[in-house]
Amino acid sequence: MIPTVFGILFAGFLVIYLTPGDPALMMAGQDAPPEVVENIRQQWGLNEPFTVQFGKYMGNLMRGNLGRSMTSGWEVAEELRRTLPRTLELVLVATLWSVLIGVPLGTISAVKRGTVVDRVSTLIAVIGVSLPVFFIGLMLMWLFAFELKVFPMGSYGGPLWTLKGWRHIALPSLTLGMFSTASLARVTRSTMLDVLGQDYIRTARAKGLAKNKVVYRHALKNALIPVVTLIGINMARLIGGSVVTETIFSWPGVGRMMIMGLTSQDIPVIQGCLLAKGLMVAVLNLVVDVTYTFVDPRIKLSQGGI
Amino acid sequence: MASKGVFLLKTLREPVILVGTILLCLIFLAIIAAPVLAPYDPLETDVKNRLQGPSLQHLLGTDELGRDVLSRLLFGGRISISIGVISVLIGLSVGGIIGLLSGYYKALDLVLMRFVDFLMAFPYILRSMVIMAILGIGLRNVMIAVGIGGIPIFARLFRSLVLQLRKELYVEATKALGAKDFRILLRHILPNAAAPIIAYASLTMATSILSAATLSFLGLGVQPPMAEWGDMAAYGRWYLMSAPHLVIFPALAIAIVVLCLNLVGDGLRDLFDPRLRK
Repeated sequence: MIPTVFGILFAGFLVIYLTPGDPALMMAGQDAPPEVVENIRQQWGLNEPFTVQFGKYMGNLMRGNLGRSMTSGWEVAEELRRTLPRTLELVLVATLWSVLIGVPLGTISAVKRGTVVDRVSTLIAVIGVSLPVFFIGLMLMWLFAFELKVFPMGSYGGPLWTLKGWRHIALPSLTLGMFSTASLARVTRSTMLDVLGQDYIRTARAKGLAKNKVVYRHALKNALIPVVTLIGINMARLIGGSVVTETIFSWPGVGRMMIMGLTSQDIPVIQGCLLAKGLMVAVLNLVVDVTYTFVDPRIKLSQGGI
Repeated sequence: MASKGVFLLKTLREPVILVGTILLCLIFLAIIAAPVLAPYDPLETDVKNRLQGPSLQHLLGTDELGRDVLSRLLFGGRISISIGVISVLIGLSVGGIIGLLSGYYKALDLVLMRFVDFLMAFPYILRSMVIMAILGIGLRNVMIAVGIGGIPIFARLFRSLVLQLRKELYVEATKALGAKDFRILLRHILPNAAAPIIAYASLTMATSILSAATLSFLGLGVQPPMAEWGDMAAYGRWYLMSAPHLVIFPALAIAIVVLCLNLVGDGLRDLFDPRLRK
């Protein structure tokens, strides 16, 4: 965990250090007065050697100073405080869909292996993994927002306890969750098939338990271990992948902020978003490792590394 | 030689792999023959006939500047697929060297794997975006960024294969005969690791093409007027209501290629991994 966090902070530093051109001039803007540029250079220690620069950068981070956006002039930290909750909200709802749809889909197709139901859901899963996210997003938008007019085209609607909030988050979260839904369905199916072939399942059936009870009480519980890990991995992927969804649906999150930063070469914004996303993923990985030991007591943290 | 032939036959007998391979070959041929097959110049504008749906003159319709979508798809495929191929080659070669070395030399393992862990700290697309942030926007940088994004995947794969194979009797025998490490790695370990590597390369190429298209869609890759599938969809997006075919066709092209690569990769992996064999 600690090396990872350090790595993320270091990557954030590299973005400034390695970018061609004068970072101070870029941060201040092309037509900034020389004393402003000099001020930034002092503050970030851009004239100093590598190690001192890194020290200053860390010092600025510790104080929560992420610099100002070159294009809008806003404090990056301030802007992140606004966008970060939106991205988290989107990722959480997307994960909710993937669990609610993916796990049952995988279970059903494992139990009804080889039937039409299995084939159709496997096909849907394969397609879900292969379609570009922007295509899914644009098609959902076209169908539900434009043709049927059931959901709004995009943008943030409000908190999740309001109906408007849910109507606005529906399409973006479904889009974002499509890939994890498909991958969860695939993994659930294969682990369920594995588990259903085990001796203890046969024993449970032999002692006269109903098939449903065996499937849901015995098999699913044991099949969930890899599924839980995958949910964690997928959430990390969603934090990274939210960029596209946020761009399509004009969702005011970190991803959209990052893209705007990238296209205008707004270094402080890129760096801030990178740190925010990287740290989210790091924290998430820790949570996954911990839950892992809860779900399966046989695994100790020391062996939990990949 | 005979065993190779048998293996090829066995591989092609899997219907999924066969269909995927044939489709991929057809797409490859179509893209190579783009100058012959394309009915129009992909950059030629014809504003009078803009945003038209599929018709006999324009099989897949025209875009916002009246350019023929089919021709642009054929020429754009060259860019989209070369990004996939080149970035996989970057990831495969760099990641492969890292994996081979860290699997074979214990002393290097710790250092190299820390570097891989560092790359793994970011999810795939974010990893590529960090690199885009450093390198700047552009087609070449997309290839490098997506390629570097694939390094940890291959490094881990190669490492685990080497760790597994170095214990094999024939490797120890070669060592006992006095072969140099370099020779053992390249002549004895690498060829035996080839099968799973091909399977993963196919799967990674699918991911690479998707990420490259995504980066282009976000406006970080190909600059106009060049055609690229992700980029075409990005521009088509603004005409989603009046001309949805501008999004559907490029996206379908990406999806078909990615689907085929996934099918072939999955099929090969199942074939090579005895645990998955039913």
